[in-house]
Amino acid sequence: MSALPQARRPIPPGQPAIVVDGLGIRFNRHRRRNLFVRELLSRGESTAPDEGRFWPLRRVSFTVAPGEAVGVVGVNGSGKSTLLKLIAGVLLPDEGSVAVNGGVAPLIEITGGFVNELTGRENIRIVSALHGLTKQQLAERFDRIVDFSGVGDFLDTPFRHYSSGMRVRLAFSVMAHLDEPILLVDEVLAVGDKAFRARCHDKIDELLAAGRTMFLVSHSDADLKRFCTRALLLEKGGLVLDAGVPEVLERYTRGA
Amino acid sequence: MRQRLADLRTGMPVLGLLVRRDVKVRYADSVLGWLWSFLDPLLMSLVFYLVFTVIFQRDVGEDPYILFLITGLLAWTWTSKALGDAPRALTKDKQLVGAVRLPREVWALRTVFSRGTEYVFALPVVVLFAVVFAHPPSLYLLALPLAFLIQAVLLVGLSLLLSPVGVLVTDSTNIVGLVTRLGFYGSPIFYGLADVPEAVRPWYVLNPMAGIIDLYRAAWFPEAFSGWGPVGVSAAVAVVALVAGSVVFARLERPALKEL
Repeated sequence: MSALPQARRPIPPGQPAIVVDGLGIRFNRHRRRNLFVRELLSRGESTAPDEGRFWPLRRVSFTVAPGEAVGVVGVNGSGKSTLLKLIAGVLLPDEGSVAVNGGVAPLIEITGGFVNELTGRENIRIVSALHGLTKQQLAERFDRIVDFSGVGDFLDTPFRHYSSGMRVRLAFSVMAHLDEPILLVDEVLAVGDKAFRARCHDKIDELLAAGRTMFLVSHSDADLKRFCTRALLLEKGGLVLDAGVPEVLERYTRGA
Repeated sequence: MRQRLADLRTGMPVLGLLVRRDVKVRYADSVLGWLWSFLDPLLMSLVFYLVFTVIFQRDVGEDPYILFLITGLLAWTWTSKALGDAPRALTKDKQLVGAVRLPREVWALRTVFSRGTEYVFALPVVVLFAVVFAHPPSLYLLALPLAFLIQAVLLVGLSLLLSPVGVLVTDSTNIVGLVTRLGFYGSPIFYGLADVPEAVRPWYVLNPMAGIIDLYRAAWFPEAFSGWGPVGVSAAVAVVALVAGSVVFARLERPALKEL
């Protein structure tokens, strides 16, 4: 599915938020020398035998209803982040499809859009617009974003002078104030100090209560139990269990 | 393809935003600010001016030679800077490419237009020299947008071609650097298209910058304009580049994203 979602459209009633069908993506294990010629000629279909290629994710299918909060569990390298990137549309699948109803607010690499040379204020303006917020919407939310991030006096300081914690706080704050009906959260809850983490948790509770759909990748049992109603267990790129959080965690702990 | 164009339209406001951000970032911390957008071509012009008027007895180009040089150099600077950026268009902001769901073509277009903005910012220097030498423009001044358009189409095509290739082939930055350095001598910059011997000119104009620069210059030196033939060749080459770039981009987008 290369089609982009209609921007900022809420999910129509009765429709699933995310439909993942037979999803798979193939990576090259080796150096990328000669990759260019191969890919240019291959038209995307697999030419060579599976030697040198591997599937970080394959034959994954599931459906997420609007308002659901789904946790993704698995050991390092089991394909969690890849799955999130595919749903976010920043990677393109080699097999199967991802259909996302409505816009996505990806909390993956959240400081990505921020530039060191510009001030916090300029960065807020640009990043929120990159994610589709209009000028007027931003004007309404600007103070709330700044308050939430707690950067205070540093608002007009170049971003490069921010501490790493402050950067993440500001970035999270912008993302959390977007309108997108679907949130993708990849481990960002693990950063920031204790007080900020608590506020992040409250914010996520608030967003969920407002009917957002969430996808959470986390190694924290507490976070998963707190937010999620359902969990997916990934193992070597395959979906091995799609069930309630306690059941999935139990199986995960047993397997590890 | 139609779907891609529709997607691309949704990316246009973001493109404008990224270009503005680039311009802002470029001048945010620098003392000389926007002067940088023409200082480089200006100094190059002075060097060539000195070399070709003091050391060599110049018999190419037009008078005032400095105006002749700067018109060619500024246009060339857009091309060489945009091509230099193109192989890094996706990798430079890979975190952002990996976090925002945008039509990926936007990243290729962005380098072309942010360098193009710089070019436009530098154009007052041309006017300045024209005023200093009391050299009036010709009616070909009206064709300036056409020259700009052809160059933009050409650069967009090449940038679409080079940006995914730059991810997959590490050497491409070096190759592009080499080609643009050679292209400098193979384009009518310190000499004019009219100075190229008749015998090689049909081959020479296959370099699309030949017709483009000749059209830019016609605004100031109409008597040296080689006619619409070379301009037509440039336009044709630009369209071919655009089609080839779009095809290659569509095909290499998927593997390139995986390598970011």
